[in-house]
Amino acid sequence: MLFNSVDFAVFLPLVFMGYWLIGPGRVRGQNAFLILAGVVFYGWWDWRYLGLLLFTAGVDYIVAQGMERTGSSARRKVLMGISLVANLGLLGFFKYFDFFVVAFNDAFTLLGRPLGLRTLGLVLPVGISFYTFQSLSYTIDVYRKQLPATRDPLVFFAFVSFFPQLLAGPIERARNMVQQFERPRVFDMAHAQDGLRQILWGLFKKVVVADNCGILVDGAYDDPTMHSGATLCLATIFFSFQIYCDFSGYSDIALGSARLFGFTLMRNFAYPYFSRDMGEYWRRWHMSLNTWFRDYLYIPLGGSRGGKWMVLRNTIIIFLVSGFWHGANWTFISWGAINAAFFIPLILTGANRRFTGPIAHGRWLPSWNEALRMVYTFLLATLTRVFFRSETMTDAMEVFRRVFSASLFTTPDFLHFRVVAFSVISIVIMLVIEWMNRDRQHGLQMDGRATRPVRFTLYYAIIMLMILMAPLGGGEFIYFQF
Amino acid sequence: MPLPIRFVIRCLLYGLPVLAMLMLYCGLNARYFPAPHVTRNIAVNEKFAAFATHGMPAARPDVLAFGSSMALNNLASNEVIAHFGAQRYFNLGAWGLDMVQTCELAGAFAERYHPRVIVIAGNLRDFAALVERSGFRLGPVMDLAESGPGPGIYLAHPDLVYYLRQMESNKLRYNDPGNYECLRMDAHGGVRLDVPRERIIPERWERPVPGAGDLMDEKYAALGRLASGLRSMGIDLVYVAPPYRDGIRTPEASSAIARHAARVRDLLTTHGQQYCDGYDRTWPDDLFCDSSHLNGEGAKIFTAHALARLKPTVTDR
Repeated sequence: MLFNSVDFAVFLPLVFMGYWLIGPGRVRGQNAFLILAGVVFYGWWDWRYLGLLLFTAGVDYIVAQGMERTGSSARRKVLMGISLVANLGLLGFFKYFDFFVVAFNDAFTLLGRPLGLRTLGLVLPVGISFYTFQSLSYTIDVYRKQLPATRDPLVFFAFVSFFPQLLAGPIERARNMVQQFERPRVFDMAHAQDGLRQILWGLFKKVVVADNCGILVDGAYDDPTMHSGATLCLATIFFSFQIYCDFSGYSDIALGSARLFGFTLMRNFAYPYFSRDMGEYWRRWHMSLNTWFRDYLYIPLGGSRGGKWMVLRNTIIIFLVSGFWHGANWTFISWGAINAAFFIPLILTGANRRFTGPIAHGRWLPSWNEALRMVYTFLLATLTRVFFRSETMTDAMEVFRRVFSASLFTTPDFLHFRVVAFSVISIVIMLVIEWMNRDRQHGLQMDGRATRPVRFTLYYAIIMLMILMAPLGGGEFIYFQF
Repeated sequence: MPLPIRFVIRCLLYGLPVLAMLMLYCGLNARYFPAPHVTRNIAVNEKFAAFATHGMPAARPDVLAFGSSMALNNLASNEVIAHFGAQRYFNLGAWGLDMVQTCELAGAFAERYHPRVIVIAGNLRDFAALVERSGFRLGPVMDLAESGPGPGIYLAHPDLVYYLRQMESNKLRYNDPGNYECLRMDAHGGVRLDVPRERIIPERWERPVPGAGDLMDEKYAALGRLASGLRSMGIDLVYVAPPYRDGIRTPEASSAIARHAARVRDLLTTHGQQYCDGYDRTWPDDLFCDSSHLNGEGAKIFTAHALARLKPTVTDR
């Protein structure tokens, strides 16, 4: 089920009513209801893959129970191994099997010994990269004794199948969520109202900004050989806004929906385009995945303990793995590698944590230095997106070849002037509102900053913009493919 | 009252202005409000709703045209009316229809309205398996054509998002002949396409003629069945094949077109029906909006030229 669908507009209020009618004191009943809602939500897309979700959750529940009961560290290691093999095996099979078959075939053909292995043409079950990582965080935390295993299967299954973040995150940490499922939830009016505002803001970013930009981006990237450097350059910039508004829009809707049920999910985006360097950018972009890699890969690899070269090595590994996590394609691996390359100078100069405080603190506008840094960081991030968006490495190279040619200085050949106008207008609105509220959790968290009439005028204006500017054919969220 | 219930009531109350805004917006843009979402094909929905709103069911049409955009854009209404001396003509062509769907619709309309002549306009693409066509059920389409876009049919196909989004798109479709999706219909359902040179999409301009391997036997069979069925009902079928622009007709394309034309002609003449095209003259690029869609001037020239080559129809004799 898509957040931006009528189905969800009916589903969410029904689940909300059912959940609170069960009553705040009946935690187990509410958890069971949330599992049912998660199953319906996921099954709406394709019920056949529900088995995978239940398998992942079932294995990790049993493994965690086993680890809790045994005192033997060897046995705990074996159980942890089972969880890793089950989760990563499933993910690897569905996501990477065909990629490796093609890679092996190509490599052996080059060596003159074609293997003739066949690909399986597997469909990637939506959300698998997210829920396997989330479930894995639980068994790792239990293994490390940072979290006691929960005895109640309803708590664990509700945690894994919690519908707001089931399909595309945020990838929750068991440490944050399991206890929220264990304790009674009390309805908080202010919390719920703010959740609704966050949903509205997420919908605006998705259906207005991302979907309009998406039309222009698809038109240019479907066949880069047909377009000038100017068109491809602008399309890449539009893609930067599309992917941000698509993914952060999804996250806003997820966080807002969770708040309606009394849950607080971790933040996934903190206005990354207001970053002053790539270090700050990566601390603000897809935070749940990046902190997951930090906690469960970077630190076990040695983290920052072994000096600069160790940090460098571990950073490169993290970026490459992050690229590979996004998809079995050389374009994603290249995207990871280029991001690592942009990050390395910051590590070598010790400047990777130079900007940790708020930008333009106490001021309405940034200084010239800050503004230039933000633009520079945005352009660097945009440059890497050429790989992220291109279907193949050949396409990516074609985009670069055209962008760095004389055709960069021609008039862009976008066909839909109206869509260009809508994209630009909506991007400006989005940036202004997020800039004004950059110290808050989301763009519409304006309590104490604007009077009630002003706030309500803004909410209604946003709804009208959604009605007027949402294009045809806006659909799935980009991160569903990962 | 429990807090969650109060929250829901508050949401509903705050939602009232949204509802009012929506109604105001729809009221202000009522003329762009789309036809009921009976099929996934927007043009089909609009076209068959227009058939009813133009009073055709009661008027009993005597000439009906069917087909894809080849009928929608390439048949000039005035020329069709002049040729057939038609009193009540309506063009039911809609983009996205293939030959099987076209024949299905033509057959159903023939049974219900029993017109004098049915004109089908098509080219090789309508017989090809190149694009995925959106399927539809005939019943709801016929109901829409018969009863028009009343509240009942909207309620039977509720899709608020679709209607809102299409309403915005219709502002372009209903007004802009330079848009390939234009649906600015004349009084007889024809749509004149006039895409300025600078808005021509290169991909469409260069779209090649489908090869023999792309053509599907089942689509020819459907046309054969229709030709035979209409003959038994005493209805004349005229198949009109709009030209591809000269610039796209390579020797291979010309030969594919000729083979296709011979096959269609055979199918029709077997059942006493007629085929016409305009390949006995040149079709310069400036009469086209892409490789096969004529502009307004081109449609006029082509329609008059092709129909002039028909033998008198049974009803004229």
